[in-house]
Amino acid sequence: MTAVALETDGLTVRFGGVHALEGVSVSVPQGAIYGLVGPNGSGKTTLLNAVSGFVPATGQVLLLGHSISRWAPSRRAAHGLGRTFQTPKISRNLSVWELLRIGDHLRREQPWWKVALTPWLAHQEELRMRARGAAVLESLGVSPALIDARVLSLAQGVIKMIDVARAVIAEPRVLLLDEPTAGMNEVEIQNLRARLKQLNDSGLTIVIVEHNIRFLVGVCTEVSVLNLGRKLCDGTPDEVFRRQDVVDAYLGEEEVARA
Amino acid sequence: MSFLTPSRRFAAFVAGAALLVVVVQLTLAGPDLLIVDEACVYAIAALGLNVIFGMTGLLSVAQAALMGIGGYTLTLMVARHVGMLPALALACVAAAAVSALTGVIGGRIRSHYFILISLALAEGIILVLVNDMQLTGGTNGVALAASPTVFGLALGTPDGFAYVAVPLVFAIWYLTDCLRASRFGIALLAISTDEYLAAVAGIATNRYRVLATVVGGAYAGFAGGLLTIADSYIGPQNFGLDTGILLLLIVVLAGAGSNAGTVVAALILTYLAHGLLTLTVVGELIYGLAIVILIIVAPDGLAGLGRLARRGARTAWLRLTARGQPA
Repeated sequence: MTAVALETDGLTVRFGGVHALEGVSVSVPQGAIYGLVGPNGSGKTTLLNAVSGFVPATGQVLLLGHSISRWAPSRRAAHGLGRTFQTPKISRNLSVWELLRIGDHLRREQPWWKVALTPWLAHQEELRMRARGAAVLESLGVSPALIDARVLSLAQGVIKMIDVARAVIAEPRVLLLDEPTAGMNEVEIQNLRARLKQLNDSGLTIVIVEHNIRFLVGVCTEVSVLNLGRKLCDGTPDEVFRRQDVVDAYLGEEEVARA
Repeated sequence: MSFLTPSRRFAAFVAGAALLVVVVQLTLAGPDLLIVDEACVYAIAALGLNVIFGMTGLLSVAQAALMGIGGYTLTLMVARHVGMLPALALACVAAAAVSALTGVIGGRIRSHYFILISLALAEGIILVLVNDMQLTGGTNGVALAASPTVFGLALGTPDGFAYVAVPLVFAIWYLTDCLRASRFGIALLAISTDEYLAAVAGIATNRYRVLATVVGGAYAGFAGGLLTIADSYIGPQNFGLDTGILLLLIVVLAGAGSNAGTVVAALILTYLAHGLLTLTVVGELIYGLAIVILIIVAPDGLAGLGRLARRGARTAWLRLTARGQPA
């Protein structure tokens, strides 16, 4: 049996009287690409938010064997949990490099007094990290020449990919992606698929919340279907998307035929 | 990327400070020198506010009141025969501690509501300063018990103070630039961009927010201590809400968390405030209008104007050099 990278046990989230999540238990094996699907409002993003620590939840969350349920979001990130957002959280016009620097914060060792006393060393360090930032961009199929571009001046699909780079540069062990293909064109989706497989080959466990079933079928090793805050079923994409209850709850016959 | 490497930047700061000291010595006298002295004090306090507001995004009007905390701490310590430098250090600590209060309370409050916390703190401090007659001398203030000298320069005189304050501004400006480039500065950039973004990057947002108010408060304490030394006197009128808003205007005019802009804006606004406010009520009106116009003309502040000027100069240069070449 393979080790478990991320596990939730009886995860429940309530917003007032609404049960956004009701006792959801999922188990993501290490090295998996795990898909979370379900209709709008089924609790997919809420599940990611509960795992990240952004919404109060009852139940257990285990990351690489540690119970992280009571940890602050930043501590979860420091423990190897990376994530992106459906709409990248960039309220001001940062450059790509500034965003990558933020992503790389955990690995940075530049206290201000070191920058002040040994500015030349700090500068070398900065150049090294910048080169790494460019390398990460390139490894995700984004032109490293964009490193000084303003993020918000780029196309939505590129911004989404740069947000992935922002998360990947911190070298997480489990990466949560929230609707990564939203806003991407077909070429960009193909690129994303290839790059995620590459990242997965290098040992990264990936959890994807996604509407695009065709994308998931091509890339996931396992999927869970959520409906109305509960888990409907899980298994390999082939098994799951042939089940009649999944088709009824979410897919419709057409989507299955296309996939 | 900055076009100055850090080592060159450091050299630029040293050269700039030296140059400005010479300029001050050669050109300024009397009231102008007093304005430079005051601009130096405000520049330091505003650099601190730039950490709190410009870099972290916490809108505060308490910076002047925190200067008051620093000034009174220094005065009271010196009256109890504490040396000038330790007293100055204690002034920083006291202001930082009080400033941390805003950070702790404000951590639970998002964005612009922070200004209400800072307003309450500022008014509270002034009330204590005015009403606790025994400790602070009330509205009359207190004279500083000793007048310090550095290398034979009397800091209580306008030119003696300028010799020390101008290099100090440059040193603190340099340190603030380093702060911004450091791990700490990047955490603040993340927080001011988006709380969720900061959290998923492993940044403990509440802790860094409090740290930012601590650092910015220490600047205010230092500036307040310096002002007290320059005047050899302290009174509550120097630390009212009008000064708090002046400091905020300096940072807004500077634009986008720019340290260079903050220093230049401190000089401009101190000069404007003094030069025009002496012209009675009309002066204040002009001052207010000037601020409005500045913000309309330069929404990104001096930093934005600086970028425009650099871009303009580059295109002009490219056009100039292109003319010499065959088409």
